[in-house]
Amino acid sequence: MIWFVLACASNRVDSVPGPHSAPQPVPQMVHIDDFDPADWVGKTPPIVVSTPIQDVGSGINCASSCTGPDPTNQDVLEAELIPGIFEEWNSQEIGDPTIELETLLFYNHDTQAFIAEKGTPGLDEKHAAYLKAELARDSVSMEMRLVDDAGQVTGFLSVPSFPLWEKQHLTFTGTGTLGHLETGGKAKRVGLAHLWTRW
Amino acid sequence: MHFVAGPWFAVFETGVDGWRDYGRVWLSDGQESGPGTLQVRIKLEDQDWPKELAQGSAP
Repeated sequence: MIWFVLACASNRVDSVPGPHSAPQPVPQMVHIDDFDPADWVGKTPPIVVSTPIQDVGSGINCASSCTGPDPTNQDVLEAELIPGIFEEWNSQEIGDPTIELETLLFYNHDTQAFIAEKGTPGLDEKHAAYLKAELARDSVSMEMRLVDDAGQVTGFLSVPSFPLWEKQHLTFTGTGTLGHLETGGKAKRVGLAHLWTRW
Repeated sequence: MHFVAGPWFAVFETGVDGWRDYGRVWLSDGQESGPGTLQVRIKLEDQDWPKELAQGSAP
């Protein structure tokens, strides 16, 4: 399963309004099909999204914009199906990205809960050890950067390790006149070699 | 306060060399503005393989 959404954003507020200052303009949300940079010269840049605007929230804060598909809230792997998947995968080469292995890893928490309760029936020693080792891989390293269309890097962040599944708030460095830039999101494992991310 | 806002959703293969495009962004510092790209490199933490798999078919 692959979700890919392009979104553009610029949310700039120069200063915190004081008691006597004029209210800061709130960026509007504009669908990418309707976005023309020429319309926004001299104005507060909009938040540009490619999903239907009602699907990403009407506000600009993290809580309302972080909605969307999530690989762990779709459904669960029923415990009664797991022994059959074990049996099938046990006949396959260790390390091959088969649907059985990918399924066990995609439903990491369901698989781990089953193993904790009932062990690894149907798996030989090597398959069981391999599966447990793969299920235990629970952190990722990540780098992000912002590059303008002239090829200039305008922001960078590097996280040597953070846990899968847990939301992170990360800050870019080297942003210069762009000021403080941060992003929030998480990464989840959705197969042997694939990571789902939302930022 | 500034945010890099999305949401962007994507599935990446772990450990792939080089930067992967994540999404298009509009960059502005109030004086100059223009389009850009958010790029990512992401890698699942390596595993310390159990002894019985250290030499064998484990990747």
